[in-house]
Formats: sequence, structure tokens, C-alpha cells
Amino acid sequence: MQLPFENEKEIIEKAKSDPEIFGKLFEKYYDQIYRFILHRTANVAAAEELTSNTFFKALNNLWNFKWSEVPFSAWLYRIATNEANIYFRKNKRIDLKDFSEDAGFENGSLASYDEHKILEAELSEKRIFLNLQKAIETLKPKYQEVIVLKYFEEKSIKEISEILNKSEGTIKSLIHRAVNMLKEKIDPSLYDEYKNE
Amino acid sequence: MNKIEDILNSAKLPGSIPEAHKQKLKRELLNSPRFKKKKQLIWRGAIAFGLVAAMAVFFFFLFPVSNVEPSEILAKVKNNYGNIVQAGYSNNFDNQLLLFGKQGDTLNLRVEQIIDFTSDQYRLKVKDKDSKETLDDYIIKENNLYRTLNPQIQPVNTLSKPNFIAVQKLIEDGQVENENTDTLHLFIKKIHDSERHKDKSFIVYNRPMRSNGELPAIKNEPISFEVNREVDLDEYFITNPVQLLNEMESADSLEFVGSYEDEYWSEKLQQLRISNPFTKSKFQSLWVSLNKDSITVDTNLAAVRVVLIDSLRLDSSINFDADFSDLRELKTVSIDGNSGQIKNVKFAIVFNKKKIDLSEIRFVDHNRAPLDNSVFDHKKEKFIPAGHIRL
Repeated sequence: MQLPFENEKEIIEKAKSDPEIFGKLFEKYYDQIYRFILHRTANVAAAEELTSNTFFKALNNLWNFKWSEVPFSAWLYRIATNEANIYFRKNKRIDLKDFSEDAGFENGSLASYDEHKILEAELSEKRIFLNLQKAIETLKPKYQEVIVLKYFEEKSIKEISEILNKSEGTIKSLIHRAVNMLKEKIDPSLYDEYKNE
Repeated sequence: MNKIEDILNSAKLPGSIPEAHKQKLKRELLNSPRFKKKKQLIWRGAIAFGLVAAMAVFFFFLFPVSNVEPSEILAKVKNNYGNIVQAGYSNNFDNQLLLFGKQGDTLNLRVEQIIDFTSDQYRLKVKDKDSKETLDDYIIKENNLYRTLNPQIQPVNTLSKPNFIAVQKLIEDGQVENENTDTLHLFIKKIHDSERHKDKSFIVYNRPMRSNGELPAIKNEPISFEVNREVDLDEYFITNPVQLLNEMESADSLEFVGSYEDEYWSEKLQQLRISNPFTKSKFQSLWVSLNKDSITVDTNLAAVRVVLIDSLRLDSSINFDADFSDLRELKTVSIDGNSGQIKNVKFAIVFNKKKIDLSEIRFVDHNRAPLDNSVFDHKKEKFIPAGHIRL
């Protein structure tokens, strides 16, 4: 996994006590984590909320982060993966539409509200992604995770194995099975839509 | 490459990022008490050094400056799992009165509510936890919100959410202290009509009869017993004595059955079974799963409850590889042996041989006192109209 800083280990040690350094880590990884969660949830409000949770948990548990086990970015992805799974579990039987109504604008500015609406509109135009995501969402979380990491996040097998703490062989097999299952799940009209785009 | 992979490769989203959210989150993270504590230590160290090196008289100037950065600032904007700190109950067959408050662990505030469920009247006081000074005071009745003339805290978007009030502390001249971080959310939950008028005769603990047919003697000390129950912190905010007593009747206990591999979620679940000590029958299973950041308790896989560990401030004390087979939630109810009245109810989670207190409901002395309606008289206490609220 590509390291963002040459001396990331040292930087993470400093980030435990220095907000400025933690801010650098945040700047480096926010976009990746937000996009990953958005790809998992297809919901802007949920992606913002879960990204916030991910970074707060990262901050609260940074003292416990052991550099020798996984790269920092893989560790962040693990937290984000957990957050996404908790989100799906919590909302398994709840109408997901309600989520955006409690998206935390109580302290947000009008600007963030407008931005949120723009991003939602942008997302709603991505019909192929949304149709695909609908099918992905019907898969078990372990298959959802590998599909999103491999195809949307473009992570290597090694990176995915670090993030999910599974062997590379297992990851390959999961991806293979996930793609086959997805074939069965997607609406056939998606192929035409893709062709015409 | 087959077609489905082509589609997958082409479907990824553009790189638009919510910049406003990103910057807001960054501010919140960097203002975290985790950093503040260190900063404060350094600051205080510097002050101490300065004192030694310079003149003791500087202390009087420097010390207030160090206090500008309050240690009680909340790291998270949302503090959904604050603790109930006080409760009272009145039952004169016409009115039910509940007093309860919710306390953010890291905010130096406490909240007390007085609720008249019969007439939908609410009194909500926010107090300084140490000085007990009332910082803000609301009366809510007939969908109108009244507020004290001299609030010490600032509500945030109070009226836009029907069951929700957020507040921020003021320091002076109406300025909000540390915007975006120092926020306490209060939830007002309406008890469903069908819950209000349940059997109200349940105020004395029904002592289980001995096998020889005798009732055990009432002790002149609180009787404590434990009830295991589903973990649902939100439920605390709608708990009332009638519900508590209904639960006490069953006095459940949990039994560890074994581990179970959940194929759907591809994770290991611990299966626990609630047994009824009176009937010895086993009637309900709990499925408990855990990952690094949360415990999830699923009752018969029908309703999922999630308790975030870090919200309970457990992150530094838990070994996540520990055996969770002993996970239990304890509710300890103390009853005064003389009066038969409930004194308090404590909620805790026990696992890995550790007990973590979650919250406590304390029944105040005027248990069963008739409802004093003047509590909700906004004219008497010179409250001013502050808008409408839909309860």
C-alpha cells in the first residue's frame, strides 16, 4: 500500500498529541474514506455521518494503533468498513430515506446544506452506479466490501487483504464469487444502459 | 474482461467531496478534548514555569487565561447516550409525574425534566452540574414553548425539530462558547397513549413467595436485585416506573449458550438465552456480536440494537479480544424495605469481569406526591413565549 508520507510512522506518533499533525493525516485520508463510504452506502448524508464517525474513532483509538500490524490507511478503511456494516445492520429493517433527515445540519451552515444538496443531485444522476449499488447491497457484507474496494476504490488484492484482514487467496476467491453473484442480481437492462451511455 | 466487470469499472463516482463537511469535521476533530488536555497540560506547565521563573503575582493574571479553554468541552457534537441522573415519580391516579435529566459526561451541565404525561406539560431545566445554578429553563405546554427571561445558554435550532433541543453554553454577552463542539442534545420523547395508564398499582415490589408459602421478611435496608435486559440506551429516556416494575416481575437472567457463525453477516455471534428464574423456562435468545468499535445485541434477530463502546467511554479499558460470553446488562433496583418504594434503579453492563455503570434513575423523596400544577405555570415564573413545539 502506498504510503502518503515517507515517515508516516513518526507522523502518526506525533499525531497522537499534536492536532496540527493529525490535521495533515485527516487532509490526506478524508477524501478516500468519504468516497469509500459513499460507494458503499450511495447516500451522501450517511457517507458524511459515517466518515465523521470513522475519524472520531480513529482519533479516539489512535493511541492503540500498532504500526507493525497494518498500514494506517488500511486501519482507517477497517474502521470505515465497520461503520458501514453497522449502518447496514442498523438500517436493515428501517427505511433508509429517514437517515438524511437527521444528517446533523443542526450545527451546520447553510453552505454545507447547499453543498449536501448539490452532491445528492450529482449522485442521483449516476444511474448506472445507483442501479449497480442496489444489486450490490443485496449481497452479504463480505462480498459488498470486496466489490467496492476492488472496483470502485481500485485497491490491489494485497491492499484489500490488509484492510479486511484476510489472506490474498481468500480475497481473490471472494471477488470471484461476488462478481458471479452480482451477475445474477443485476437488472439485465443495465447492460443496455451501459451500452448506450 | 467480462461485461459485468466493465460496468463495475466504469461506474465509480466522480471525486466530488463535501468541502464544508470536511472543514467542519476537521475543526471538530482538532478541537477534541484529547488534544485540549495535552494542550492544557503544556499550557499549565508553561504557567507553572513562568511562575517559578518570574513573579508569583502573575498567577492571578495567568490562571484565568488557562481556564478559557474549558476541559469539559464535548468532543462529539452528538451525545446521544448521556446518562439519566435523576428521576421522580408521582401517582395520584390522575397524574403521572416523572422527573428525569440527561447528563453529558463531558459537559458540565445536567438536565432535569418534569413531565406531566396526562396534560402534555413539560418543564425542562438545564443546570450547572457543580453549582446547581439553573442556566436555562423551559415550560412546554399546549404546543407552546416558554423560556425563562434570563437564559445562560443558547439553544441551537431549537424549534425546527419536534423532539429535539440542542443547547450551547454562553460565556458572556450572549456569545456562544466554542461553536460547533459544546453542544448538548436533549430529547423529549412522548410516551404513547397506551403506555400512560397502565396498571398503577405496581409500586411495591412483589416479593416472590418461598416454597413453604411464606413471604420473606422485608428488610430494613434496600433490597437490590438484578434484572438482565436488552441493551437499549434510548429506552432509558422513555422509562417510567410502571415499565420498570413490569420488567421487575420477570427478573430475567441470561445464560450463555454458545457461539454461532452468522452466515449472512459472516461473523461470529454469541448466543445468550434469557431464562426466567421463577418458571425456569427459557424464552428468548439474544445474539451478541462485537467488533472493535461496537457491541450489537440482537434479540431474536428481530430488532437490532447498537451500543457504541466509545460513547460509553470504554475504549481505554476494554480488551477487545476478551471473551464476551459473560456480557450482561444489569439493572439493579433498590427498594426501601420500610416503605416499599423504589429508591433507585441502576443500569450497567458487565462483561470480561468488569462492571461499567451506564446510568441511574433515582426516585426522589416525594415519591407519589400529588402533582403541583404550578410547576407548569409560565405566568407565575415570568417566562416569555419562545415559539411552538410539536410534541
